[in-house]
Amino acid sequence: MWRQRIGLIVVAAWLVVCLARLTRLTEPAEVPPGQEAAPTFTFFQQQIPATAGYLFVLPREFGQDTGLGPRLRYELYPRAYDDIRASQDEQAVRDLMRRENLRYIVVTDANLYPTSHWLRQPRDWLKRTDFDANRPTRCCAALDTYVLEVVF
Amino acid sequence: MDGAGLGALALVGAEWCAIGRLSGVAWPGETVRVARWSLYLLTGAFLVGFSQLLLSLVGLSFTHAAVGLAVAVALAVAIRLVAQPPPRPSRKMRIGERERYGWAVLGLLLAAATLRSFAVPEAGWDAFSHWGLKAEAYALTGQITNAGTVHEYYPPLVPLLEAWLLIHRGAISIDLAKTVWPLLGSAFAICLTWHLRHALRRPWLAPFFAAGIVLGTTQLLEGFWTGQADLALTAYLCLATLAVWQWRGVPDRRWLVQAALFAAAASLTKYEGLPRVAVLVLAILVIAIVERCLRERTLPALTTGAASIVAQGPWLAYRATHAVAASSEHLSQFQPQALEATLVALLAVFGGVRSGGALLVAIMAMALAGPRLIRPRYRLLTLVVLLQLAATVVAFLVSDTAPDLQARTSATRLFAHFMPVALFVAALWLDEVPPIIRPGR
Repeated sequence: MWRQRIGLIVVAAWLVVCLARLTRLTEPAEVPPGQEAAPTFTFFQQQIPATAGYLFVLPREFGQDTGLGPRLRYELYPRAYDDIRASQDEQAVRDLMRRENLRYIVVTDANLYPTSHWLRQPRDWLKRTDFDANRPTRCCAALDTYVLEVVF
Repeated sequence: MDGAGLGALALVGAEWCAIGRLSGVAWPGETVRVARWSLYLLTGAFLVGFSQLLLSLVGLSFTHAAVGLAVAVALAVAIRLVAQPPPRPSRKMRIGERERYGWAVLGLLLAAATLRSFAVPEAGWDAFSHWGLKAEAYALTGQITNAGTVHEYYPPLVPLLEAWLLIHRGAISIDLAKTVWPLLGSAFAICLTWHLRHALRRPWLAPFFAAGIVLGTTQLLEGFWTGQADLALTAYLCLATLAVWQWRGVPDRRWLVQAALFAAAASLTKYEGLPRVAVLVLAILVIAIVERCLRERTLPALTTGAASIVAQGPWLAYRATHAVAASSEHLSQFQPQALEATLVALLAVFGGVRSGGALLVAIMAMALAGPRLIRPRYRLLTLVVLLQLAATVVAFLVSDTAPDLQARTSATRLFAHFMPVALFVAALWLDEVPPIIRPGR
């Protein structure tokens, strides 16, 4: 008798799980990673030659990423991608770029980095091209987007 | 999804079914059409993907689908010669009324998941950083090529299948590429139903339990609309496991053919594939030793193991010739001191009804089944589940990333690889508790 009752509990539990999981079918679609930067992808494609490599400086620490890195990697293929944490110092970035032969740094939104961060300061080894000049609409007015090209 | 994308998907599905049918893979006993064609589709997908790999190995392009199909036909004919399928029974199979309701429930579930996969955009991180990116690179070049990911050494079956669809469509779209997974996921669910039908004393329960397994397994349903490799690995690994288990009951050659093909496919699906198949082989050997019939019972171990190694051969050759080296991210130092933190992380991950409910159901059923689990009927599946679970925890402990963090980010996907087998055991046990569900026809 106890087996029957407990069996019934297992069936009931399974049904509850199924009903709970069924809600996955009706949930709103998840937003693709890095969707907030979607309007900037064409700008980056125009600025960076298909044969060149670029760096993305991940604004947050491991475990806090928003998926922008993977999205950029996909959207800008076949350009070679690499990334580094914003907490790394400028010299480490220069060494990495030299080692990996990367010529560009993409900045989807400078507001993601502290104001004092080297990425937001003028540097003589980097030439900056802003998205503003190319911006077709007011779709992404809140973004401070640019590409940095290594000049030497 | 546009009409051209839908047409390309239909064409790809038809090609896979035709190749699978040619290979002679079959179910023992009477079958219904949908079960046969599901088996063909899963087999054909693997054979076409394997053909793409062979073409890449010798430096040929699979941009022209006819070339890839020609190689797949040759492989299918070779398998047919080895498998020597007996003629299919000509008698038409009848399905009872109650079972039809079950099939309708399952069909509705699969249709809803498929429709969702057509409607929602790709949102999986790994799809953008790895699987979809590789598919894009393969489709653009018509070959396996360096996509610049950090996982170039992962086996290529999943991006090859997505690339096959993109080539048929003639355009690159990550949202289209992922629509191959509801095809394979539905075929898996139907094959799972047929396994249950063979196993249950009341076969009409099979589609209901299959729907419960597809729904319950964490991340499996989500795999229908996300282009990540876990759905494919779950499908191929579970079907290989169940074919081996069925062979223990009825040692029919057709089960062994299924086990070999699906184990080979699993080993080429994901980095975890080969170790997962190795765990299955280990379980078969342990049971054979316990049952003291090493000679009779080791045949599936030899078949699945050999097929996986043969399937890995071209991929290892490709990696060697193209200098694709593996990183140490998954095989780092063993960190036993992190076990407690990992278990705590697992509790947190599986704490919810939707994430851990099915796991709880499987644990409850297996605990209640108690000593039955060591009976010959349950023995192999129980050991497979326990060993796959142990292997998953060990994988966390040897990860380069902190084990608890690794568990938090990947546990639901990794547990999905063997959870259908655990729920299959639960279904077997519930089927043996007579008064719960009245006997059917």
